[in-house]
Amino acid sequence: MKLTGTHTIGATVERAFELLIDPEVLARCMPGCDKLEHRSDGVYDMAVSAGIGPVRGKYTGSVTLSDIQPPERYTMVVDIKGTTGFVKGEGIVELAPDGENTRITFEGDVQIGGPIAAVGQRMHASAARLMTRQLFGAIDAEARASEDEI
Amino acid sequence: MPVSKSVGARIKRREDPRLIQGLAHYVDDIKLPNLLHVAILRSPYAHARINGINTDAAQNLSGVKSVVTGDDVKDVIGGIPCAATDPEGFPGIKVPHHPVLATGKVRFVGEPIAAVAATDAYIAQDALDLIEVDYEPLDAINSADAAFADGAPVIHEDWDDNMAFTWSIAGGDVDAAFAEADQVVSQRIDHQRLVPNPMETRGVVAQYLPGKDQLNLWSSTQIPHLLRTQISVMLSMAENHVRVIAPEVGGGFGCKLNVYAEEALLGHMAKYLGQPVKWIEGRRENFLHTIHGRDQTGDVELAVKNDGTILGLKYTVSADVGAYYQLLTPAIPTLTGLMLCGSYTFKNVEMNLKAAFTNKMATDAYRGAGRPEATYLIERMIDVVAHDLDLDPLEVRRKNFIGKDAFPYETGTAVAYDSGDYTAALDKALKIADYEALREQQAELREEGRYLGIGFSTYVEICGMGPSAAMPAGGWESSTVRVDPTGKVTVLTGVSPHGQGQETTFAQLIADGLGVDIDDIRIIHGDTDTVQYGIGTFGSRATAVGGTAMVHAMGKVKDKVVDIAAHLLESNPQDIVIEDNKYCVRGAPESGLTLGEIAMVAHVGVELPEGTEPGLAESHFFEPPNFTYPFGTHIAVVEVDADTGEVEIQRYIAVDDCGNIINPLIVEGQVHGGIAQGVGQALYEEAIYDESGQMITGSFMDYALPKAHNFPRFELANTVTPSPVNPMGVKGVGEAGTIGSTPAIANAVIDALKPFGVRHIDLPLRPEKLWKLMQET
Amino acid sequence: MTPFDYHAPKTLRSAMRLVQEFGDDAKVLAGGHSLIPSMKLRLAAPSVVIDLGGVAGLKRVTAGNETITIGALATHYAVESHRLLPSKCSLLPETAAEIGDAQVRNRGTVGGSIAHADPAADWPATMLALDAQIDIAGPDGERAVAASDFFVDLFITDLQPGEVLTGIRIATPPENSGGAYVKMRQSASGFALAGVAAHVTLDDAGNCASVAVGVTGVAPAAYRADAVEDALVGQGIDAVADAAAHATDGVEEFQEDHHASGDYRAHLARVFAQRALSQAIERAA
Ligand SMILES: Cc1cc2nc3c(=O)[nH]c(=O)nc-3n(C[C@H](O)[C@H](O)[C@H](O)COP(=O)(O)OP(=O)(O)OC[C@H]3O[C@@H](n4cnc5c(N)ncnc54)[C@H](O)[C@@H]3O)c2cc1C
Repeated sequence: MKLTGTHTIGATVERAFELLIDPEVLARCMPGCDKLEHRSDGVYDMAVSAGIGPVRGKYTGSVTLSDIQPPERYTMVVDIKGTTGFVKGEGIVELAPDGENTRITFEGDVQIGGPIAAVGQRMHASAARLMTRQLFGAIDAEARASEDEI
Repeated sequence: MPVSKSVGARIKRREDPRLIQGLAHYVDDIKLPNLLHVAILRSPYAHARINGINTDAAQNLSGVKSVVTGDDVKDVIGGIPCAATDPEGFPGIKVPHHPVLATGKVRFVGEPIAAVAATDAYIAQDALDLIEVDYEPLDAINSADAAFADGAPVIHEDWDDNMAFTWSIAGGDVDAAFAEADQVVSQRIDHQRLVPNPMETRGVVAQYLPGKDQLNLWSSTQIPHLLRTQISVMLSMAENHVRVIAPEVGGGFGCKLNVYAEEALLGHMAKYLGQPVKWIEGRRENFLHTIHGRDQTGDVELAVKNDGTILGLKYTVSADVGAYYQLLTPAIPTLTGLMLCGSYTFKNVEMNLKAAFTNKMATDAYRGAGRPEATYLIERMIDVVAHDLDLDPLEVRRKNFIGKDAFPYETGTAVAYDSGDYTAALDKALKIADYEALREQQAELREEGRYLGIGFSTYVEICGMGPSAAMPAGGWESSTVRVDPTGKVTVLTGVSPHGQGQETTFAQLIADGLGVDIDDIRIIHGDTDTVQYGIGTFGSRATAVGGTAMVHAMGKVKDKVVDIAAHLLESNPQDIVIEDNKYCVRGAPESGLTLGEIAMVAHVGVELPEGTEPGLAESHFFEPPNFTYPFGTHIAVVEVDADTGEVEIQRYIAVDDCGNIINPLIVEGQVHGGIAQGVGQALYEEAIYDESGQMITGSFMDYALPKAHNFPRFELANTVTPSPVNPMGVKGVGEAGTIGSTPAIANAVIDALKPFGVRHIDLPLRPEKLWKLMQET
Repeated sequence: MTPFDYHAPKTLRSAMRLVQEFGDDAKVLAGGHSLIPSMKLRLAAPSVVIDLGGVAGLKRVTAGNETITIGALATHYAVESHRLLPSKCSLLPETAAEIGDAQVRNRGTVGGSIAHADPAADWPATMLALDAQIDIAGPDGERAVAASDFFVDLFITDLQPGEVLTGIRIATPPENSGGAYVKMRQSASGFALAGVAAHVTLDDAGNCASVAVGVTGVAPAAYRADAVEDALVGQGIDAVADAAAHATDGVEEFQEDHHASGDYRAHLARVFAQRALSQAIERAA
């Protein structure tokens, strides 16, 4: 399944980029993230309790950030599984200045398997978009909050 | 001649009271002491290497009795059988080993990997979550095209490509036909993948009796005897130590005409654990791991004259058969080949099939099995021809029909149609429809921007599956008819009905034939310890073949009854007639004897004519000389909403000819359900696997079955052209509705969109597709 | 099976106490037509289930001259079959009749459907079109939210942790008003591929004094089609077609799957807005 979208983060490109690849920020902003630990170069072990509507489950796996070209682009791979199935997503995130803000564009491919694939297909695209919306929304809030602190 | 009272009457099904009241016993109603419950771990990946399986945590869960994996059973359970792998029929066929539990690799989502037996079904299910499988995902293939593409991943590594088998059929002189043609009309036609969806999913209970070395296996199957043979081979047990029981079976539609992993696996586990085991398939499992139907895509070319005469047909087709073969997988598309000429006279015909392994569940027999593909293809193409040549689709049909005097008629594919009168069925349907008025109405509505469509299907199909020479696993059928001392009749039939109503229709035949009340007749089926070997119920064969076997066995019983009656009445057998259910000398009904009185004499054994054996039971094995060929005309009237593309079926007229009719009510019931299923294919149903091989239509939230509110009241009628193939003149009606209806709906919808220049649309005809086409013009 | 504790409180008070006590681990159970399938499929596994089915007073449906109230636990059928609703507010029974089949309507609840906020559920459209007030009980007492503030995102509502939806209140529409709900069923599930509920009140000249349009199945959450409303207020039936063309204005993201693309859903929303509004106006007149 193709997944694309754009979001705005209230910070400069440099600042947004820093936030986006900061594991502590990601841990806070990723919906349902219980754990995000650095394993090796760019690879983080992750545990999430994710749920949308009727579906709720615990997933473990990894997030990998690679091809990091500050402050313009990086590649993110999420590979998690749980008893309700697995999710594997790979996407390129690009940043561009948009006035005082940063415009984020991502383009990726998501594979969903197991029980959630067979029974939840009508929700896949909107659920994936909801989660990215939540992620970038939280990072945006984080950016604006840190702005206030400065 | 005794007046027939029962045959031909609209008798309500004797099965229904128990079904409706919840008094029937299905597999899940079998309760045995110490029963363990089995759950199956299934692959979430379409294609992956299995680098390891750790079952420790599952084994240690309280209540878990055993966990078995592919490695545990690979040397003790043989492969899942396929009965259609003869390399003479399928040159170069690749026959992969099909294990009951995967080892080393999984090849489709839902493939069984491990089985857990536990004290209750919930614990068994919980234990599945504790099994750790180390998968290494591989690229997946979700279509025949992808399977044949350069560089495609290879699914079975014993070979270097995904070509499963090829198959061809040819008749006449196709090249000459195309050379002679004024035009060649071609179209790519897709037959989407479908899920059979019986109301009862599959289920197995297995019990092993060590003292007798006997395995009792209850399975929701259409073929108890064939299953018993195969299970004995898979488990290396003597066949006479295996008893298979098909209890009440809640529908099959072909998907239970098979031998599945769970049947052998449960048999093995019962023996190995020393405790009975039960597995009931969940609906999700059913979507993933019970066979699917159809999934062929091909190019059709028709050589035609400008006047609409069809000279020849070429069909070049790919079938996506899934990752492994089930019992009849390769045989299904061959039935398409046999029926390519439909009800038309052209004899120059050629079909070349390539079948691909893909990362999907196997395809196999689903209601119609190969014939809906043929009928949809030819009936759709007739309309395409009419479109291209600007002719009336009815005229194209009439011009090419096989005449009623041409029967028996040998087609270009070398099958011999038994009997038919295609024009009569068409004329009758047109009359019911009031065709001229419909066309007028259509024209008027078009003026208002409303789109009515009228679609035809003048189908013929092949059924009454036998003779044996043309079948992968026997085409005969058996029956035993016994009369008890008190005159009650017990029939053992080798067919295994599961919704078709043979407990009623067979009893009707016996009631008339033996002069006995229908309530005194019991039809027994489905238990291999009780019933002599039989083939089973599929391919609309139960009445034409199984019913005939029974009628022959009954005839032998009746001869004996008449002999005894003649002896007792001091008359000649030729003078004995049945009047008011009494055997009497013609003209002297007052001194007649009931079947019970005669049966008592037969069992007491003292007053028998000389040389007559005591007892009253006879068997017969019937080998049909030919298939039967039901036919008919279906007319669909639909309206397509110009703003939304939504299709409303306004009228549905079906004139079916299934030969003589034993019970009109049951025939109508079969036609109703058949039409609904065929309309399902036309408008709603589609099993979709995404690019990673996940089935995204794996529940009723996303797989659209037709529903009662989708239909108008069906307008049904019959013509009756008896079949010469069996003494009852019956043909079969289990699949005709499905076969006939899909093209009628498709043709109607496409006819509705004619003002938009639409020539063909692939199924299912979802509103969005239609709306888009209307937008484009 | 993940074991769960089952509680069947008899009063709202004890229900609320249990909801506070178990917090996130608990799920309240209404008709169970969404919750139980997820639990059976093991896609949800709450450790506590609090069944509201026995709570006194939550099943009532009343239709007064001022207000219509629907208890959270009222079934779809209770609304469909209510004696007074066809004359007081026919849009309610008309919507109820579009849901699932008779079994579903006998079991599923209006409150459950609204709290669940399935993006394709039927009730949200109608609640938006009727400007319903959603009554909520929580740890700090009771509050009411307008339907237009209630449906937030995909399966997300304004309900906060620890809160329970207790009922729905709708101002009984005046004489010269009418409503209609038009839907296309997703062919498998029967939920709305797109569904539009419209409600209008006419002035003496036969023009729309007020218009409200709710759209479901199209976006991640049901929404009010404000642009349609703005375009139609003060206008008559002749303006419906133009107004309906605005049915998806402002929607940024469309639901899409193999049943229907986002474009098609958007198109249906516009067609159905026109149909629902035309019917509503006819009924109001
Ligand atoms: C076969 C089938 C067909 C259906 N077709 C349709 C259809 O066509 N259109 C349609 O709109 N719907 C349809 N439904 C859904 C049905 O209408 C139910 O109303 C809906 O599932 C939720 O209501 P429920 O009472 O069953 O809630 P439940 O399943 O009991 O609960 C659903 C969710 O809401 C929460 N919840 C319930 N009540 C409250 C409350 N008072 N306060 C806070 N949270 C609460 C629960 O914790 C749970 O998370 C269908 C359902 C089925 C099974």
